[in-house]
Amino acid sequence: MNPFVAWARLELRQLLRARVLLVTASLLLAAGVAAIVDGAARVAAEREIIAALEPALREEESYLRKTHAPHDDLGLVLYYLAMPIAHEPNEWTALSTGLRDVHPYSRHLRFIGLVPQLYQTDIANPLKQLAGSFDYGFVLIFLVPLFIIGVSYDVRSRDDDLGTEALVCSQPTRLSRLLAVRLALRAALVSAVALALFAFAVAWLGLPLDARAGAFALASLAYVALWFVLVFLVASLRRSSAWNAITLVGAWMAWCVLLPAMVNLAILTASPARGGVELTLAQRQEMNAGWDRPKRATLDPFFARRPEWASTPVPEDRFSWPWYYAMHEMGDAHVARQVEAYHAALARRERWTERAALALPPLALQLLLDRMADTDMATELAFRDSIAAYHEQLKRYFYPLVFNYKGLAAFDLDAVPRHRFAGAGQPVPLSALGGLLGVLALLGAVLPRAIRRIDATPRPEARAPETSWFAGARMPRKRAAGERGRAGGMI
Amino acid sequence: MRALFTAARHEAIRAFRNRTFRIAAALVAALLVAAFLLEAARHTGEARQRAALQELVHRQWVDQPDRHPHRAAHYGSFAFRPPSPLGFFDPGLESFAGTSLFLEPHQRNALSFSEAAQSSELARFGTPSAAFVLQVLLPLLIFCMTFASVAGEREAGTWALAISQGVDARALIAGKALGTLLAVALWLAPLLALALAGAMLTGVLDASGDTLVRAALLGGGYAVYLTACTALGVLVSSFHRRAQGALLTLLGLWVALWIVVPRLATQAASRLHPTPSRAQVELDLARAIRDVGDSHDPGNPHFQELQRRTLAKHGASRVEDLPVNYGGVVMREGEKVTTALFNDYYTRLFDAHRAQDGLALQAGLFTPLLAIRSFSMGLAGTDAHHLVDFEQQAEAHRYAFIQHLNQLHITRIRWHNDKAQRVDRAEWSELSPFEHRRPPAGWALSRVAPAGLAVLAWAAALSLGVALFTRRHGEAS
Repeated sequence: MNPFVAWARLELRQLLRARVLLVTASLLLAAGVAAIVDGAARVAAEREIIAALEPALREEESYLRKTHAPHDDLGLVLYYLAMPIAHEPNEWTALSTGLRDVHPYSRHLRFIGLVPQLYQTDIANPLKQLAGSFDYGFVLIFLVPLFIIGVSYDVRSRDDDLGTEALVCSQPTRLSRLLAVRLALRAALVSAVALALFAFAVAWLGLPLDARAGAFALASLAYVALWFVLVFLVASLRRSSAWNAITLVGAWMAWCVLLPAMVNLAILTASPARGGVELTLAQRQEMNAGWDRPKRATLDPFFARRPEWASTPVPEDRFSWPWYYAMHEMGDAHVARQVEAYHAALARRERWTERAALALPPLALQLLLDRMADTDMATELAFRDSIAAYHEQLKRYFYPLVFNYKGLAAFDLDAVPRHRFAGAGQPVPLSALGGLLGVLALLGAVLPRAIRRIDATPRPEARAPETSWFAGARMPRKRAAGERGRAGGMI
Repeated sequence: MRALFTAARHEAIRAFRNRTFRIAAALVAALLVAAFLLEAARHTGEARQRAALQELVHRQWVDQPDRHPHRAAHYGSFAFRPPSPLGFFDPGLESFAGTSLFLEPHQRNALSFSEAAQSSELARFGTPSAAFVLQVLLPLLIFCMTFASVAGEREAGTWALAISQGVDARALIAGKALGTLLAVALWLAPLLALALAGAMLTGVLDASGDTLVRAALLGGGYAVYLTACTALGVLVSSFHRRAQGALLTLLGLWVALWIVVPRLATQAASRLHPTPSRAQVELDLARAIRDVGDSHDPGNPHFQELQRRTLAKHGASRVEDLPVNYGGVVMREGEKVTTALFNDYYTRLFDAHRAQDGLALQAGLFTPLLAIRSFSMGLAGTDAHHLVDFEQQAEAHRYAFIQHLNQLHITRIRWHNDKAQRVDRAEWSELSPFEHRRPPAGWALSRVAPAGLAVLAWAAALSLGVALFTRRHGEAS
């Protein structure tokens, strides 16, 4: 048998014999499965609530019919009517909560002014929002890299620890090739775990195996590969196991936590999205001022917007529903520019985040997953647009009734348009995928140097590998690695 | 005792002589300074803006023309949540809690315009606050400082050497823990003191007794927490024969207890104690309101009874003959009924949220992070208790505000041709703007005392562990 193959088999046997590793791998698998099952349950509960909206609407309708006479103004009844709106989850939503627990996925929309209704936040436990969800995205983006670090931080330095350095260096194969085989074995194990989890998600959630699923699987594998390249680069510095472990955990901390948090702060500061409160105040000011003005002051600009109702007789001296709803619409129209600017500011933050993702692979994978799951900010903005469009749809349906002074008797709930939003149908964000592959390629470009370094560095007797990160200063010079096992007996 | 101090001094000096420690400490310090400056800037900006908005809303309120009181009630008002002064240290829930609350009749609203609702998915990655550095990063640094403390000496043979020369193993180990704490405290304490002083001088913090008490308690809490972390590091190190093994155990513990368990615990708590989402809340409230019935419904028994009582009280037979405006009386009663309903619902909802937090905190007995996080947010005034307190104050203000206007409706507006009448605009300045009263430090402490005790228990248990373990195994090397 080829000695290289024999050696690779030995390595594999060693890898599989490590109990801690198998226990950790099973824990990771269990955590992933639990996260997927829990996500599926969360989405099922959401679907249940969304399904309960229509029966509840019927209940509300019969209550309104009970408490109002058939000849009561429809305008009065519309003041109370609240139509359900919902952002339906898709198959991927179970995998990543994203912003779905910050923005309400479902609520009710009244026929009155739209603007203050657009920005209602979810009534959730803020501590839960702060902690974040234990979902598949968390397992993949945060825990898998830690697992990779755990199985491979000592891919080279273990020979120092075990005293097999001399043995390994005496092999006819180059050290870099041995390391590559060791890392490949570990990468195969991690990829197997990651793919097994994804396969479970596909089976449990019924994800369609389309181009999107393929792109996501590719991105996940690129993410795994990225961390292994990083491990190789750190290993090529030929430092001790302790140094490697700390450096890799430090890199994880920087990439997965600190840098994204800094970027977040930078974006919040550099791209302010003020104006949400201000435009609400401005809308309220304008809408309420309508009560103190002559009715014509509201109606003239309104009729200019909607000339089809210009011939409606609207009394000047008393309250009427056509005037009331015209006033609400003019309140919204008054701040239309501000609303647009505010939404543009929010979209700008999203775009900056996408740019930052080019250098932050964890963020790139999160964006990719959230985009698939329709739980990202872009989808939330599209959801808001759909609410605005629905409000307009309701106006087109109800204005003919209100402006002709119809009563409750003319109200037919079945004919009222219903809101539907099942995602913005955004394409796979190629920039996120490109960012992942780009960082991978960049790190890969350093690989040849690392390989030369590993193969060129003389045997480690010349350099003193540290036992610890900084145990050093007063300690005696370290003994050569091979003697360490017997150290206790020597003293 | 002398051995203890010698060991502690030795350990601290050793740390400071180490280049890697100096670099790491400098990095953490730089991060802390950056976090302080950025958060303080953001914090003061927010505070100023919200105060300005609160003032603007009041000016707009006073500037209203003559209006019908119920019209003015629907014009409504806003309560802006002022950021907590110590929020620049620990923003806690700041970014997930809404900042403004619309106060209107018949309705209790929720806070809106939170920071998280206005940012991308990056909100999920958090903001780098000083509290985050102390809670998550510093333990990692301490573990890197302590993993070799005992195991490294054992490996190098110096441990056996010291013991054989008659040094008390317990003093040696305690000294190592103390020395590590000393090395951290020597650069951290001045930095924190400087930040505190700077914040007070620049007006980010007011120099009131309450703030000082909160800051002192925070300082104490973090000292205990870091002691627990150091004890954990030394304890794990003394379990191991080799430094590397100790390091791996500590890193594993850090990943498990600082990264995995906190999220897992909160997720499990929200599973075991499910709370409704917005759509569900809206459905529940709509149903509850339908059940109590509405004041417009002539057949509603509650309002029939109200009419009978009101007529009897004034000795009148028709509402038209009443000396007060019966329309306003109905408004007042309706507000009372719906407010009771909303308050009951929200109290139960917030209690359910706190039950979730309590459950997660029980899991926090397995990780000091959840305990210190809860303790720190509580004293910084950025936790859920403070948030709920704000919402309750705003709700109390809303109720008083609306009932004041209803009272105007009852006494100043005549029953006949009610809607066409107005009250004089001079009435508007009778209503004071919303002013948030910050709960005192004692109140905050009583809310987070269990979390504080949990941190203390961790520190005590680990220190005891160090002492006991040393007694048994200290000499056996």
